[in-house]
Amino acid sequence: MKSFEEQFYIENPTKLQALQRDVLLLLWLLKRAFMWASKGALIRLAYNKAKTTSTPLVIEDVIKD
Amino acid sequence: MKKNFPSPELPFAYRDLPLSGNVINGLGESKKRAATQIFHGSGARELEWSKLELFFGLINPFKVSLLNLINRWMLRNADGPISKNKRAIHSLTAITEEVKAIAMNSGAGSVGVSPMIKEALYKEGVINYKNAIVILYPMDGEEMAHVTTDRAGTETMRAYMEISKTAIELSKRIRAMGFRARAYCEGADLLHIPLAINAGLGQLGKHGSLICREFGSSMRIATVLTDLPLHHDSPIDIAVDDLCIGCRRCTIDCPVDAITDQKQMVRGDHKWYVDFDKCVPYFTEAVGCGICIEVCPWSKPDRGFSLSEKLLQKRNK
Repeated sequence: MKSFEEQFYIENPTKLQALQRDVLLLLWLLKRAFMWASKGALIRLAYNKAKTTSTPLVIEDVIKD
Repeated sequence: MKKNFPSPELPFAYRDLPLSGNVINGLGESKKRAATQIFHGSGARELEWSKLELFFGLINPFKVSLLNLINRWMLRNADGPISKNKRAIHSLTAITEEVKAIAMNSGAGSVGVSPMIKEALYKEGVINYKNAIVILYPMDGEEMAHVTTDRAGTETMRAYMEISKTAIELSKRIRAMGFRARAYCEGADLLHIPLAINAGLGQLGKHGSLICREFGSSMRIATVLTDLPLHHDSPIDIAVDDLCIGCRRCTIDCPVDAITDQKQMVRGDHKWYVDFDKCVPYFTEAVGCGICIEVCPWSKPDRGFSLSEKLLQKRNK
């Protein structure tokens, strides 16, 4: 899997390459924002509950492969 | 003094622990080898501790997450078009001064130049540039006094955004001179600390972070890699070890005792090392933590130069 730099840094890009990169990056960011707002909200709820109880939240239960 | 920091008893746990970060980092290994990425893969690359990193990203407060996304969007300009008119370089000293002035005028707190070194690359990392311009940007001491809260986390991300702007602007100006240049900020692919040390900006502290005279450890680092010919700075001795050996502020204040009082053998180097397996889970819980940076005596405003001077005088007596 490529790193952030390998995916979105382009040396001396043409205008078309830069546009393609911008679209892909925007989609990547929107996916992350959506994940924070949806899955993240559920995780934050479970995490806050774990803080008030003595049962720790299991990472593998909330972050799947 | 252990302030009201989050409890070292973590509210999360692994069912099956990932491979120890200390093993991956080569703790106890006397043979030299390149570092391996474990965490901080920018959420793009699958790493041994990626699950925890994703978890960290999802439990981060809204403002921290938003600033992170905005920073990522800005970073699309970290590389870009190179001018076809290559500028003739007549004096390395003059062009280096010019580049440093551009960085300082674009917001940098301190700048140094190093040749690109293999220690700055992760295993299997290939980055073909000749020189590295390392930039430091100070964080606001008043905000960072609130470490482990959203307020300090937000300040950290703000500093990342500011240093990104500086590095992006510098790389753009170098490309306008006709040379390749790429900005690495909030980095995943580059190890900034070895470059900063080699660029004469500071030394490695007991807490595993860079210490410089201007800002102690309360700063962020970014690097612009380039083929522009530059004059290199030399590593400096500001007497960090003279203080770190006897000072126990960070070892005492670290809630999970991740910092040790002795240097360790790590991939063939005898150096300060922070226990990854203790540090990073707590870092995740504590909104990026930063306690060791905040309590470090070097991080007190306007203290670094006089502290360094006193320590060097004492050593030479």
